[in-house]
Amino acid sequence: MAVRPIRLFPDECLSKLCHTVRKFDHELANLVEDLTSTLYQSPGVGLAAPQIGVLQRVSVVDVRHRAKREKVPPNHGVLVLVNPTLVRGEGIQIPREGCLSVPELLANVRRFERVTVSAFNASGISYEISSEGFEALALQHEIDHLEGRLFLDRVANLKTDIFRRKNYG
Amino acid sequence: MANYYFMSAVGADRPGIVAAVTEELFRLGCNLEDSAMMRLGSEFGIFLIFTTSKKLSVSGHGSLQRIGKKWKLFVSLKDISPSEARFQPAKNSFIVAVHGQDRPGIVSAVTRCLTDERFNITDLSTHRTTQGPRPGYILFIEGELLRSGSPESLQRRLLVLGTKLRTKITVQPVAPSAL
Repeated sequence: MAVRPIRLFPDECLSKLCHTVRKFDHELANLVEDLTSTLYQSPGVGLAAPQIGVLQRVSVVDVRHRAKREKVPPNHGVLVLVNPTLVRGEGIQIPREGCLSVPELLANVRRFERVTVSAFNASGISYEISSEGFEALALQHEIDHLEGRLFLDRVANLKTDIFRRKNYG
Repeated sequence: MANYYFMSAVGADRPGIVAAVTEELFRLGCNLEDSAMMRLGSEFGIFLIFTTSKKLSVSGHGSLQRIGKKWKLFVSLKDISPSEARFQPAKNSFIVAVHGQDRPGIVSAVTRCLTDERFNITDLSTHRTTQGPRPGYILFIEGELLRSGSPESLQRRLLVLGTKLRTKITVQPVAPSAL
């Protein structure tokens, strides 16, 4: 298990389409462990494989991480997402979003309020979850990474949507 | 009958400029119709459209000159027509996002391409990032595709340009929702 350096914009890995995972082997298990341990050492709630330089469709999300005890949003705990797909999205939320790989900027981004995502776990077992609010946002953000898409690509208004980050709260 | 003016004031930023400028306009009996301000680095700029029953000129009007002198601002004043003062919303709007490694010529190449594709730029902002292994560059452009332009042709040209500049360029339509 290793904490790996997080790739920062403009690293080319961040704008590349990731490959579908075909083998659920020990290499994948190692990748998931590295992603998880790197996430828990970071100020974020989700991490995608391209953010540590691996172009595979793998992400981890845990919105309990960094949440204050009394403000933990509804969640499914730690989620390992291998080959995730957004099955359904409903409602709108426009959160102010940041990214571990673009630490200098924040943006208001339009996202679904509720999503259904299908994925595999590290053992190759498929599952489907329905999520809402902050966790739904994190899922959409991490799936975007696997498509080579940053939140910068979803900005809808120049005057009101882009902010320079002052610090990591 | 109301006279319409466009005024700009640009100079080093200092606390109190906006209050000083708008107080003076209020004292002159002016009504603000529209305004925008911004800071770039330590420089400040404000643009105002206002109406007044009086005829004004920046050279001939002592109080605007005094404000400029006191706050070390370049002040300009231009009379405009009522129709020029009116905000005209764009009809076929798009946002173009460009990001990649910083290199000279990104903005000029992208804006030239947009102009050639009949895309009228209405807003632009750039951000240079420095925390990565190399400096990054992020450019956002909002604008209107004129009737003689084609979204497909715009997408195609920007895709080719993005490959040439080794930057990612995305185009998305601005579709406001009535909620």
